Amino acid sequence: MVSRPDAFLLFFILPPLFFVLFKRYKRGKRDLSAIGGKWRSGLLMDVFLIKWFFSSLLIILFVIFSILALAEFTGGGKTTVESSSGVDLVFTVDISGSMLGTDVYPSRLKRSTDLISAFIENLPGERFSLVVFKGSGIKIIPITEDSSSVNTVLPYLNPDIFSSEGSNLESGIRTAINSFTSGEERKKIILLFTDGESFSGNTSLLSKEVKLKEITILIFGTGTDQGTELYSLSGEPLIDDKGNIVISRQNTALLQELAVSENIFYLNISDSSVLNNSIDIINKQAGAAVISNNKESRYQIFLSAAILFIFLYISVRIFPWKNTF
Amino acid sequence: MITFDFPGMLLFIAILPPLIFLRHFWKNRGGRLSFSFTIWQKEVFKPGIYLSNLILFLSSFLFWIGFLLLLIANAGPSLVSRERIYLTRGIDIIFVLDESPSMAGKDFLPDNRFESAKDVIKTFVKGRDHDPVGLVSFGKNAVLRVPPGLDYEYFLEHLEGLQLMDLGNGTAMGMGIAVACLHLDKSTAKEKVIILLTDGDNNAGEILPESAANIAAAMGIKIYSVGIGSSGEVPLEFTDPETGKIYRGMFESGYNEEILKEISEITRGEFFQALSPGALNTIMSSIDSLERIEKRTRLDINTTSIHRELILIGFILILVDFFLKKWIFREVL
Repeated sequence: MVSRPDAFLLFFILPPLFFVLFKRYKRGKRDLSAIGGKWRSGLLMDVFLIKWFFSSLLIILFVIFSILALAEFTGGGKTTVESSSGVDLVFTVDISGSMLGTDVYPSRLKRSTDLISAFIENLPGERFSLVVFKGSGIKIIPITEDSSSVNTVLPYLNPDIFSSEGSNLESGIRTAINSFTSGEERKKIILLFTDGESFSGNTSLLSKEVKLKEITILIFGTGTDQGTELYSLSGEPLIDDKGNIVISRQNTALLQELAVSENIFYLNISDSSVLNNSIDIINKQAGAAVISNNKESRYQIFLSAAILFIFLYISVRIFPWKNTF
Repeated sequence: MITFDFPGMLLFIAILPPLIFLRHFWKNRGGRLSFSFTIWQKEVFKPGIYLSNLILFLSSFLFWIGFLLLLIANAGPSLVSRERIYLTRGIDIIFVLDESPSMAGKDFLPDNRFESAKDVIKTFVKGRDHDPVGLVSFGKNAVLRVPPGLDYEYFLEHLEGLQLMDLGNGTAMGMGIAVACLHLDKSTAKEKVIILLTDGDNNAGEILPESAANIAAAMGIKIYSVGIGSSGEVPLEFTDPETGKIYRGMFESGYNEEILKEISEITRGEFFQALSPGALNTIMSSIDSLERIEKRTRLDINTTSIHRELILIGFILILVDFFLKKWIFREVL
């Protein structure tokens, strides 16, 4: 089985390699006859032809076998099973202004904090942490068994607790990742509450990182596709530069796009069964033992061959043939 | 740390020096053509341009580095990291720290009682091994600053941020203990400990220290109480965090030893008297050694193979040398 098929793209090096080798053959013949003189041209051409053929063949074989080594053919290996001893849940809440949108009753933010309280109530004995993000992510409560400390803070979450602007999803998730403590066999789950609107930060590499660190993410989309008006502190609807009323919508496409890998799930907070569905996922993750099959890479066979070919390639040049060159 | 699956393969690196010698310095090496100038009809050769010689040298250098990397990759190099996995639960410890103005007493030089207490807590926490720690502070009121957890960095950051008189002028010792008990309620630890550091008598809050101690005892929480400071007249200096006003003066110092002793007795803990920073240090060391449990751990070794990166770099370097010499410098062989 090939674990890195992307390495085969390197085979595109072969056409320019053939071209250079062919060009060298033609020019080499011409240069040699010019330098060597006519009286020994026969001998030179014989040696050149043989040396050129072997060195060309060897460099091509070197390239092919190096690419095969990079492709990582695998086989065999050992299967290891690791069981967990509990779950650590990091609630990561977007507290940008758009979370005050009322297209979800009573508001996107309030519905999120209500759901967090429900999780805490339904998952006794687990450990929790609370992270909020706007322009950047901030850890409000570190990982603790003391769920009451999370519950105490929830009613006070609102966009005004931090002055930074925006909705930096990357910073929020990164702060959540860094909230987990090491040294324990516990499942790590991030519960992300966001409408995905006007987000900033680069989330493209996050899915790889969370997979590598064996972290599961449940993304709770807050809000609707139809959207809602947003209001200022004085109660007036917010208006953009062109004088239009600002409509805030959930960026469903973005959130679903984030949930591409098997350890990232997307759920809509407006779904009536969202609590049960997500607790099912959490329980499955908590109960599931991590089964990993560490297959052995067979790269060494190909790499050894590649090294042998490059060694011979040098040798063809180093040792003079027929006492000529 | 780097380890190798097949370290014996590294012996092949020994072929590099003779190969380099044969390829670049051996007198009879091939790939060169000798000819007589007398039959050469064209212009006489001039010494090579310095830049092209340099590029040729660098090109060869890249080739040999590439070759070396391939040989290292063949030995199966891996980066190794070790992680200690704790199989047993640690002790939950909550510090209940007095932040009333009297903690600014300057009998704990070079700082004051409050800063000395913060310093010893810092040292104590840094010396703990996988024991969840929390922080409650009290003045006129009591609040949880850090819930019990293993995030020591977060704990130390918030401990550093504590300020005298942040919670008003008063000593709600009973409330402090009660808040700590409340936040240890969900703890699954077999042993739960409160370390109370105060220099005064309970004079605020709705809960008496004795009642709070009874709650703690019922919950199986042990309280170590530490009375800080000397008795008698003590100089004091502190800044009001609200007004920024600096207060200086003398005050009659003294904590209620009887209550502290009683609290510790009810909860099967111990009472300590700290008259100096040195004594406080010793007390914390004693508590540290008293509250140790045997922990079962396992060492997880994670290896990340890096052969692929080395092969890729080596492969590219060798091809760069090849294309430079064959395409740019028109090398015949």
